[in-house]
Amino acid sequence: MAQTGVVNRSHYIKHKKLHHLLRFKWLYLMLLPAIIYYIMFKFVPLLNLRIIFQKYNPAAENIGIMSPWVDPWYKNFMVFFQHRDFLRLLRNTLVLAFLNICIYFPFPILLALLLNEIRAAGFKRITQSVLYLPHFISWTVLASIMLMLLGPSGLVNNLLTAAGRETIPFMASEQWFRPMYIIEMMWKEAGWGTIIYLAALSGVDEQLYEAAVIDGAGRFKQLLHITLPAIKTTIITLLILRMGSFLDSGFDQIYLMLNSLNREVAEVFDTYIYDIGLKATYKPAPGISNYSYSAAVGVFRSLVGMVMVLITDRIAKAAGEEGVY
Amino acid sequence: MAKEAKVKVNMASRNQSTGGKIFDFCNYLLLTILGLLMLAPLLYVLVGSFSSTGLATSKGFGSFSLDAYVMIFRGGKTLNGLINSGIITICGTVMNIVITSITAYALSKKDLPGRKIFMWFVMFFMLFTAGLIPDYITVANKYGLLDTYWAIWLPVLISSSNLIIMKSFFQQLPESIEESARIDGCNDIQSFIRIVLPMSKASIATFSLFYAVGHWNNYLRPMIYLNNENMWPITVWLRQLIILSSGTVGDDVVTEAVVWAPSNTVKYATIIVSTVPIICVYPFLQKHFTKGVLLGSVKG
Repeated sequence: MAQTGVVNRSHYIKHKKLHHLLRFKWLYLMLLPAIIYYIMFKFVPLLNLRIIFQKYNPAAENIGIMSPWVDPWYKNFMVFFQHRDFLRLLRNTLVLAFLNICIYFPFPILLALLLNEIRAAGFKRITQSVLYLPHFISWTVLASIMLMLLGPSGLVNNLLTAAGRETIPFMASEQWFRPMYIIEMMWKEAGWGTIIYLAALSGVDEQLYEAAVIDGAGRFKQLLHITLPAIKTTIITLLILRMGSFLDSGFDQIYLMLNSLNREVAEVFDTYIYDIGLKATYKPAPGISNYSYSAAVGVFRSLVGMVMVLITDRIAKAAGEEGVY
Repeated sequence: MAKEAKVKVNMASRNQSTGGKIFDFCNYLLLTILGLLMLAPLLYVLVGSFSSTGLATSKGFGSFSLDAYVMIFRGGKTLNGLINSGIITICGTVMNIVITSITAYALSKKDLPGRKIFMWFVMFFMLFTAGLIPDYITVANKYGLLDTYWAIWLPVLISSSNLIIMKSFFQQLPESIEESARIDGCNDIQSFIRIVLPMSKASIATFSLFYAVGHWNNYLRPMIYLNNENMWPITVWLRQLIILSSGTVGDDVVTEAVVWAPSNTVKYATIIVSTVPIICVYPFLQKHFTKGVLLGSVKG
């Protein structure tokens, strides 16, 4: 007798739970495509990361033969870290990352502060629209325009030749690559980057400024004590997120700028992974698969980004900020 | 009245000092110059596309000519590329918006069992992605999507950051309206379509813009997944047309040289036609857009 009671009860609880879940059946139905998406296009690629420990052979895998594991298991990484390309790629990528954070990153903040000081609504709206415009242009278009303006037979060099001066190799030389990278970046994204700061600034209570004026604070003091603190959290959040793609130099931009004359400084992890892995331009070492090797390079890059994010996040939290993760 | 006067006082006091005036003047000047610098390259290309000489320095402007545009729109690879880009962008954006919004809506319900686990996975995949090569192997070798537009659409069906912002947007909508819809017998899907979507126009417009720009301007994915030239979007074709034919891309010229070297006017016109469509989308969405981003960034 007692036993049936227990059975009935657990049956009842199960039934209740099922009933509870059934209430959400429509929501689960709405979630279903996303679940399939994350499994098929995020989780399965993660499983396929096994190739970094293998000598991946796509032709054999297609007929169901598993690729052989490498020995030792870290062979692909070892080859990469000992390869003569490694230090050059690391240097190039780090230099671009630092230029990005030290020169490009503050620029939209500065621009937003300047825009915020503009009182004439019409002028502000037009300036904003013009500054946002380059964001809508693709890197391919930008690279094409740059070539037409600054290329070997572009506008500037034609003018220089006409004036009897030497041409400047903007697009195809080692010393011009990094300045051009940052200039392109600023031209394309700086204006768009102001949006999020301007949104944060529009939330600042106008009364704060009034109070500051009564207290005798000038424009600069208002900026220092009201405007900047208002966007501090936004700046830190964006900085943390930027750290996640620390070693991510922007494939489209670099790949379209890359040529044999600036390869020494322009080649970065992103373009290297593509060139070795998918175009198979050359074999980094005998006895390894290009797929496996470049996938290992990609994992190294992702891991560095992940560590950078978590470190920055911890530092921000330690300094009393909210953090992201 | 009182508020107006207050603002006036504030304005006046903010503009009083000479230092402030000098700063204002410099600020206007600086932003004007920056704005012109941003526009100049585009204007140069626009003017060049109407010049019979392609603005060659030795020949000047030449005469006004629409030849390049006539040539492009008569047919051929550029027009084909534009149509392909249009298909990729429109279908891709519709899929993105439908899937992202229904997912964000489901996740915005705080009492949904399993919601936390799902969010944890989303955050994890934002932090760590497998990378280009495993993605390629999965999409091309395992799923066999090479040379189909599915390879361009599906891997970027949901942008995790857009999903999170949209979710927090849905969360701060008033719950009472949906509650009354439920009492009237609407299920979750019905109340999403009839109540929530009409309230979220600004948000939907903003994310459509983000996704559309991403699709129109994408270069890497079409390049690696589409071998068939007739399927190429305009970005891939433009590189072939201008960058490779200019001969500066040292290594690639040998393997991918284009036989036909187009005139400068044609190059300029191609740049313009590949930019104008996506720029045209912007003013239509701009009205909603500032509101949508504001909501997302303040609340998210």
